[in-house]
Amino acid sequence: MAYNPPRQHVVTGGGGIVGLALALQLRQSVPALVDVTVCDPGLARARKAGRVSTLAAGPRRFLERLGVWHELGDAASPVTAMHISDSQLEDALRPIYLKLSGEISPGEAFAHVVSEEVLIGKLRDACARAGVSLRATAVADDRLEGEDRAISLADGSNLRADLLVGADGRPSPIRTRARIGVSRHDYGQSGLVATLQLERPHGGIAVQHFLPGGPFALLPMAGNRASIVWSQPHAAAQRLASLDDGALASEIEICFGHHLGRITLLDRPQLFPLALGIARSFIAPRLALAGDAAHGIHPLAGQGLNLGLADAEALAAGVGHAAGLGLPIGNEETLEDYQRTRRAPAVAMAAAMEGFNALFSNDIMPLRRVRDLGMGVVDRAPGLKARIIRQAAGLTAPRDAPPRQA
Amino acid sequence: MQEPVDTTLAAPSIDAADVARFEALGDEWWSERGPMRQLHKLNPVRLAFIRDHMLAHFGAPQEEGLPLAGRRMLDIGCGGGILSEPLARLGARMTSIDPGPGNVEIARLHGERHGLAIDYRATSAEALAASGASFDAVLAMEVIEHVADVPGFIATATQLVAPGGLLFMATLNRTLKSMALAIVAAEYVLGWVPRGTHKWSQFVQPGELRRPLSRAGFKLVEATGVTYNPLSDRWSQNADMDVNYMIVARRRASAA
Repeated sequence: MAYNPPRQHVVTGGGGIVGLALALQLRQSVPALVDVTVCDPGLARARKAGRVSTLAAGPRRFLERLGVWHELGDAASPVTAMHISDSQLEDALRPIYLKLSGEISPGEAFAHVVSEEVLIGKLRDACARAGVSLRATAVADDRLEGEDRAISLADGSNLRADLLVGADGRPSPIRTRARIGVSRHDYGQSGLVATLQLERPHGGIAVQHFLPGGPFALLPMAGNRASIVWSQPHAAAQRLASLDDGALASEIEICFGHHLGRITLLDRPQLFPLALGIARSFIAPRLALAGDAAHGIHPLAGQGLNLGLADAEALAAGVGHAAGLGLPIGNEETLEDYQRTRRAPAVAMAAAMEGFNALFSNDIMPLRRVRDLGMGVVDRAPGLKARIIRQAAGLTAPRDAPPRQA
Repeated sequence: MQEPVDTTLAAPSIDAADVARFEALGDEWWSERGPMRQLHKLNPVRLAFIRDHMLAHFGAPQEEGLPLAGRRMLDIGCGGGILSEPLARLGARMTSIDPGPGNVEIARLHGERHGLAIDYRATSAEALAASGASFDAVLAMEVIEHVADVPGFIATATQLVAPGGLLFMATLNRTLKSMALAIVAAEYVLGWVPRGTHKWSQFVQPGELRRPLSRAGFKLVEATGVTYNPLSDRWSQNADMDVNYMIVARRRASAA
C-alpha cells in the first residue's frame, strides 16, 4: 500500500564550496523530498593546496549547522582583530586608522581564515554520507524541456532536473548557455596570492593595508603562517610575480613593515586579474546561479565566499520551503524570491568594496584627508564600529526575504 | 472548446457552462504566467493550510519527511491537477475528479510525465459518493463558487469524508467587496482571470457552509480569510474573510 512519490531533483553544476554546501543543506533538510546530484570533473582530483578564504561569522554558523565546521580543526584559524591602515611606503610611521576587534558573541571570533582544500574535502565527505550523488564529470549541455531541465553530462549520460544550479565559478558555462549577461568592471589590477611563514607571531590579526597601487591584505593562518593578497596594477603585479622567492620576500617586508620578522615564501605566488562581474539575472526558468557564477567581486576582505555561502543558504531555504509544500522546486516564485534576497546584497557588497578600494587606492591629498577623518570618526564611535564589525562578519546582510505564507 | 460535456456526467451540482470554460484552458493550466496564474500564486497558502491541518489532525506519518504519506485524499474539481500533484508529492494517495474529461486528460498526462501516481477520474462527486467511496480528507478548493446546487454539493462532499476525517473548502464570499475585487477588478480591470470565470450570485457566505456542515455532524476546526497583497504579489492567510476564505471541518469519529 505504500506509495513512494518520486523525489524532485536538483542538479548542481560545480562542486566547489558553494555547490557542495547547497547540496548538503538540501539533503539534510528535505531528504525525503529532494535528491541532489553534484557534477564537477574536479571531484576526481585533489584540490590545489594553499588557497584560503576569510569566513565571516554568519556563513561560519551556516557551516556549523551543516555539521562540517567542527571538523575543520586548525584548518580554520580565528581572526581576533583586523587592522586597517594606509600610508605611503616611505612613511616612517604607519598609523593604524581603524582597529576592528572583539567577538561577535562570547568566544566567537568575527572571522576565520579557512583552508579551502580542507573545507571542500570535509564537505565532499559529508555530502557522500548525506546521499548526495557526486559525479566527477561536467555539465556539457542543458536545455529547458517542458517544465524540466534536460542535462547532458560530459561522460555521455543524461539527467533530468527540476532545478539546475549554476555554481560553476566565474566563467560559468551554465550562465553563458542561459544567455545571462554580466555587468563587468575591470579594476586594472591583478591580485598576487602567496602563503608566507612568519618569524614573529601574528597574534590572529588580519591586516588590510591600503597602498596607492591597491590594497595589501594579510590573513593569519595556523602555524604562524599567513596568506597574502596583494593587489597591484597589472604590470607591477607581473613584475612582483617574476621575482625570485628571496627578492619577493624582501618586497613584502618593505611593504608590510618589519614587525612580523623575517618572511619566507612557502609557495610560488599566483596571479589573477581582478574584475568585478555581476550576472544581470541570477535566475532563468528552472535555473539559478550561485557563488562566483552569479557575482565575482573584488577579493578585498574575502567577501566572495561569504556571499556565495549566503547564496547557498538562501537557495536551499527557498527550495526546501517549496519542496515541503510539494510545489515544483524551480517554480517562478521560489526563484524570484531567491533573486530578490541575494542579488541586492551582492550589488551592494560589490559597490562597497569598489568604493573602499577607490577611496584608498590613490594619492590625491583631499581624498586622503577625507578618509583619514572618516576613519578617525569611526574609531571613536563605538556604536558605529560595532556595526562595521557585524557587517564585516556577515551578520547584518539584508535578510528581508519577502514574507512566506507557511 | 467545442466538444460537448459528457452528459452522463450530469449531476445536480455541476454547472455545464463552467466546465466548458475550464476545459478550454487546455495546456494553459500549467503555465505559471497563463490564465491560471492567480491559482498558482494561491497554491502555497492552500497547501500549507491543508498540510498543517492534516499533520495536526492525523499526526506525522511513519514515513519520515513525507507529511501526507498514505493519507487517502479526494480532490473535487481537480482541473489540471494544480493542487493534486503537490499533495501526491507529499505522499498522499490522491483520487482526483473533475466533470471535464479534457481537464482530467491534461491532468493525467501531466502527472504521468512527473511520475506521480494519481487516480484521475472524469466523474462527479455524486457518482463517487453513490459508489460508497470515502476518504481521510476531501478537498473542495475553489470549486463551490462554480457549483449550481450548493446545499446538494455539501451534502455529497460530507458523505465522502470517512468518520474522523477532514473536509477542506475554499471559496469566495458573497459581499460587496468580493463583487468589486473578484469580479470587477480581477476579471475586467486587471484581467487576472478570464471574464466570466466567476458569477457573483454563485459566491457562498461562510454561514451557508457552516450550517449544513454542522447538520451533517461536522465540527468547524478553522475558518480563515485569504488576502492578496498587491505590493508583494503574494497571497497570505488573514482574518479578513470578505473575499477569499478557507475552512476545515472534522467529521465525528463514529459515523454520523
